[in-house]
Amino acid sequence: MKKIPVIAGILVVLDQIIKYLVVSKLAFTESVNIINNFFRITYMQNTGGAWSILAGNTIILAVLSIIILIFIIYVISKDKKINNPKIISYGLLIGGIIGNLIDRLRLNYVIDYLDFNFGGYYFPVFNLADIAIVIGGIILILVLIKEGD
Amino acid sequence: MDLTADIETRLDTFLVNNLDVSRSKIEKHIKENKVLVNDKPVKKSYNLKIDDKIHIEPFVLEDTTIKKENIKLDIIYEDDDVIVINKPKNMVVHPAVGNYTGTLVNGLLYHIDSLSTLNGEARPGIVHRIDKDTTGLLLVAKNDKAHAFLAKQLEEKTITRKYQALVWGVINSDTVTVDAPIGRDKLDRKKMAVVENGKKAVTHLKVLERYHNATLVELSLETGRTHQIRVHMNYINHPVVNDKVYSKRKLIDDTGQCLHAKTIGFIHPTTLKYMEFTSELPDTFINILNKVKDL
Repeated sequence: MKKIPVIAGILVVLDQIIKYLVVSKLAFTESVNIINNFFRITYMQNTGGAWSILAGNTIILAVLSIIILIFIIYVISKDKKINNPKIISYGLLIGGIIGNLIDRLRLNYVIDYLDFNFGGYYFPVFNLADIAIVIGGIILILVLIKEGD
Repeated sequence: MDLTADIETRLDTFLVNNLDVSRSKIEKHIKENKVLVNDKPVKKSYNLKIDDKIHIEPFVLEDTTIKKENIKLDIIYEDDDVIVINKPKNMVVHPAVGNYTGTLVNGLLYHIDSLSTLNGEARPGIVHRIDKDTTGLLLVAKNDKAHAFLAKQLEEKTITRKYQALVWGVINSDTVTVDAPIGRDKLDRKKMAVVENGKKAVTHLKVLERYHNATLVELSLETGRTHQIRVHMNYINHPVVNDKVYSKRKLIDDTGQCLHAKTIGFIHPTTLKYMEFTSELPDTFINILNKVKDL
C-alpha cells in the first residue's frame, strides 16, 4: 500500500524533469529528430485532454482530474484485495494524473513531447504521464476482469 | 559534370552524397570508367583528397522515350504557345534518373501534341520547375520559339512569380528581404543551405496575416535557387510549416511544405501582351493553416 505514493512520486518527478528539459532546450513547436520518419521529440502545448478533446477547457479538465484523483484514492481506501498489479496500476494512474494536473494548474496547458509518425499518420504528441495513465488503466481493467471471474 | 572534392572521403561515398543517384548506379558508373578523378579512372574505394577534380559522364536515362501517361492535369490556360498548369502536391515536374513515371511531363506528353524541345528529351516543354510538394502555377512552352522567349524572361527576371507560404513564428515587420547565398549543405549534401561561398540568392517577403505562432506570407524571388524559399525561411528561423526536409518544427501531416506558387505573369511570346494568372490555395494548405492558426 505504501508503494503507491512511491510509484506515483517517482513518476511525477520524472515527468516534470523531462518536461523541464524539453521546455528549456526547445522552442514551442520545435522538433529534434530521433528516428527518421518515425520518432521525434517535439515541444507542444495541449490545452485539451487526450487527442486534444475539450481543447481550451483547462479549468474543466483540471477539476475533472481532481475529481478522478479523489475517486481513485477513495477506491484504494476501500480496496480489501490489494495486490502488486493493483499497486502498480494505482501508482501509475495517480502519478500520471498529477503530472499533467501540475501543468494545467501552473501553465493552463499540458507539455507534450513524444511525437510519432506511423507511415504518414502523425499520432497526437503525448508525454510520459499519458503513457502511465494508459498503462495504469489497462492493468486495472485486466485485474478487475480477473477478479470478476 | 565536374565536381571538386572539398572533403576527404571515399569516392563512392562522396558521389552518393552529392548526386541524386542511387549507390548501385554510381558503383556501376565508376566500374565502367565513366567517373574520372584527375583525368584517370579509379576504383570506387579511391580516397579523395581535397581539390581532386572529379569528372562524371552524364547518367543516361534508361529508356530515352518517356512514357505517355493519362495523368489528370489542371490546365488553367492554353493556346498555341504556352500552357499554364496548376501543379498538385506530390508530383515531380520531369523524369530523372530513378523516377521515370508519374511526372508532370508524362502527363503533358499524353495530353499535349507538341511541346518545346530546348530542355532535352526528358524535359519537353519545361522552362522552370517547382518542388515535388510545392503546389501551384507552372509555365510550359509548346514550341521552341515560345520556350526561348520565356526562358529569356526568366533569366532577365521579368516574369512575375509570387508564392504564398505559411511559416512558423510571428514576423513583426511588414516586409523582409533575405539576401543570403545558397549552396549545398556541408553536413548533408542532399540538402541546400545558406553557405559562405554559395550562389547569390534574394527573397522578398510580405506579411499577409499573423497568427499566434505562425505567419502567412507572400514571397517573390529575385533569384531562383534550388529550395530557395524553404532554405531562406529556415535561415531566418521562420521555417515553412510542414517542410519535411528543412523545418525542425512539428510536422502536421504527410503532405509536405505549406508553399504554393500563387501567381505567374509573363509577356506572351506571340501577342507580346502581359498575362497574369493566379490560383487558389489548395485544400492541403488550408487544412494545415486551420490547424496551425489555433496553436
